[in-house]
Amino acid sequence: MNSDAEQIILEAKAGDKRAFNMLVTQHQKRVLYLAYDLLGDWDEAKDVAQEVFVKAYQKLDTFEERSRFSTWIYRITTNLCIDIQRKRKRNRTEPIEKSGPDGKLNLNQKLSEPPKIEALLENTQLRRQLEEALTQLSINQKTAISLRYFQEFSTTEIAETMGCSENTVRIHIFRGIKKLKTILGNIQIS
Amino acid sequence: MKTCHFEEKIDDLLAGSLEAEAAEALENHLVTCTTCFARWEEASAMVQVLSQASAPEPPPNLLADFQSELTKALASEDDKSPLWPNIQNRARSIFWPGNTTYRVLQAAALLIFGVFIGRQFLAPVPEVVGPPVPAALNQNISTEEIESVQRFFNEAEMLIIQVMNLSYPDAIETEEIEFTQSIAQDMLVRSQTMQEEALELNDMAMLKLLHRMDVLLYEVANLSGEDMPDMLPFIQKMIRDMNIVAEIRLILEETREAIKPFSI
Repeated sequence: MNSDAEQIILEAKAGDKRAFNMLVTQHQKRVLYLAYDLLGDWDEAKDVAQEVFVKAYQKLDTFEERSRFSTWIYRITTNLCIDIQRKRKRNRTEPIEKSGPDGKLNLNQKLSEPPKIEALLENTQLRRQLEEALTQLSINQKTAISLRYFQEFSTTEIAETMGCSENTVRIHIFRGIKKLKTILGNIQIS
Repeated sequence: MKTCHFEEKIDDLLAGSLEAEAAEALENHLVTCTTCFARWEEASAMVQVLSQASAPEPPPNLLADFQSELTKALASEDDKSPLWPNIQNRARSIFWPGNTTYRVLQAAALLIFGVFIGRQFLAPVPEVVGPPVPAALNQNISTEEIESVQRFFNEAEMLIIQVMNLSYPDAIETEEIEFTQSIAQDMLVRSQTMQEEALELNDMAMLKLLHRMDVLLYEVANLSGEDMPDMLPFIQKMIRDMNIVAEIRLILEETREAIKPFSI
């Protein structure tokens, strides 16, 4: 952590609102996108991001400078998103099946009709399709994959954020990707 | 850049041309080897697809809405907070009153109390000839503290045996997993206290063992039902590879020696 960043955190901890607002400005976009990547909904992402910064404001005195502020704030974001996903999974009784006029993909159809990468990349729905497929994974697999490939976190950062070992992160990613391949079929890159 | 002799097999794994047994062995290796994992990420088509799928643009007013809502939420937090400074001030006025005479009296009382405690508990102990105290426990720690270490590692050993005996899906059906997780969570909390004590005593061997235990306890505490088919074999393998049971038994042996009554 560089000394400027440390100074802002110290000032925010001492109750300086301007310093806290600077922290919000520095991290708000990343927190919003991270929440979106984990939830797939901008409105929910906005609510989560708000809750993250309110929590950070309340608990700033418990933040220990030995860890990075960004890791701390991303951990709060990830935990809140995981809670929401758990609630969603509990409430979901039927498997997701979306197809037809809204352009979303029917995952059951995908198994028998594997899409080609060229078609997928041209398709503006690629991301949406991946998001749909990601909902079929376990929460930990989805979280690890989203942090790694959408947010470009390193394995170490993911382990810190998720509170597990790097080997566990790699297992979640590896098993998740394997499952995604089964869901989406054999995609070929030209 | 580091290399690994398994690296060349990764393309075969992705192409599905490895035999089942070899594929499984390579997959198990892959998640513990940073070089092979990086190579696998480079070569995996699915990873490439994921990396190229950027998030859609947020709605135009999202950031502005977020900022205005957050400002309101933080203002309402400030409205709630006056109670806290009051409590802090009150506590401060009790323990650190502004009156200088009172502060001097308080310091003197503290000094007298300190001297009294020192005479009571830190008086030189006559040397007793007994068995040598083991290295990991060679500090001036009480029998109660040694017993608490013993309890912790007894439970750790039991927990490990329990995890090794877990099987999927029986553990979920019998709710055995929830019980095991609650023990692991409790032990994680106690491990933090023990780490602080070990640090105070400069017992690096104990600290190292507790850190390794933490890795294991984290995995067990966070084991979810849906990840269990993948994670349980991994945790069981981790226990075998860490050879942690042998270390725990050694510590237990040491604690037993340390609190064993001296024979005449």
